[in-house]
Amino acid sequence: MEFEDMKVIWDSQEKAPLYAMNEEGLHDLLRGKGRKFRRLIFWQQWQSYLSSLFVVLVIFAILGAHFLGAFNEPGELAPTTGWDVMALLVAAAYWIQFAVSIYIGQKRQERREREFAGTLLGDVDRDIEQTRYQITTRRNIVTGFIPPYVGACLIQLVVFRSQGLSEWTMVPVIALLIFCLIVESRSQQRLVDQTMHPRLRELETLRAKLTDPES
Amino acid sequence: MIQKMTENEQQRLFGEWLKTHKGLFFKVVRAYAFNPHDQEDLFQEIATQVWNSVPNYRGDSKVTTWIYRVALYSAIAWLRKENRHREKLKKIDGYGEALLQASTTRHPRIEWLYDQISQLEPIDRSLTLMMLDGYSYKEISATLGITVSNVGVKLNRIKKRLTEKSNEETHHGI
Repeated sequence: MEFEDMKVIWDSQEKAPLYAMNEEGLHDLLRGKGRKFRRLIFWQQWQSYLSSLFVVLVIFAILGAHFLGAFNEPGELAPTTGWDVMALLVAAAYWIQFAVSIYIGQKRQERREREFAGTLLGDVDRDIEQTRYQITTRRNIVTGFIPPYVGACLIQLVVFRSQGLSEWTMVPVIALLIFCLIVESRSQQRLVDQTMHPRLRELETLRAKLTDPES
Repeated sequence: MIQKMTENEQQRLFGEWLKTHKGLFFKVVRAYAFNPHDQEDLFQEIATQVWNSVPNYRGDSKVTTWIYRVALYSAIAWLRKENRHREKLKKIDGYGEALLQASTTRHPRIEWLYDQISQLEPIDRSLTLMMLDGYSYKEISATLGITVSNVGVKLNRIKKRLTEKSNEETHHGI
């Protein structure tokens, strides 16, 4: 049988399609999935921004209380000093930098993804780029988390000091934060090794098969 | 400035595409998934990806080549994570079935052809589907993003293989 005969056989299936569609069921499914996906994306994007906003608001509330003289009242809290104010401002700057870097990273990635051609090869290239971006981001997660962690330590330092606690009480807190950072880094590394790298290899193989005429 | 598409417009356009080109969806599903559960899962995946792609369609290419591109890449990506999809299918079962078997009687020649396609590499399946649907080398090249000569080399090899197989397997009644 020649290819032209196969084409005739192929075209004959238009007369009796193999499937029918439950259009209502499909639309329910798509609406449900769409809502779920939009919610997920919304929370993923806003989680970091909201946590940063919360911390910055707390810092400014403390600073506001300082400038209104709340810490000068005789009571349980020690008065804040110029160094405390400086530490809080640096902490706020670190958290703002954290949120801004996430925002800039996302925008850059969106712009890069728009540059890929609207072809199958373009889709593969976009997924390769996305996976590489994920690998780099997850590898550098420790570096990315250092500013908010330092910011958190500075806030803790001011809070501990205002409560009259010794600076040495910060040691277990810092140790705990470092431990959390190491655990997070390890789990991200495991994700990269077990999921991202195999995915990248598969996509690169797919790309090679697509572009190599002999494969 | 690019205007954002409303959900109603997206739904209307998607409904039109589905109505006019449902055969294309079915062919891709049949070429990449081989049991009713997988076919249902893949159909849902392709429908979702095509639905998501509707706002990005700018009319630069034919609707069919756009749908083909999205459907084929969804199918190839679905193959890579088939096991994960099996888990997901359990979770989305609540929505009911979107793909129904229209007929239990299958034409043996078409079945044979799909069997042969299923034995090809995922990329080659994409090329074969488009070739059988009558797309030119140039259109296939523009959809897949590879050179026309590359398409030619690959398709000649596939045609040769299919012809050889059909000559070997005369007992299929072809």
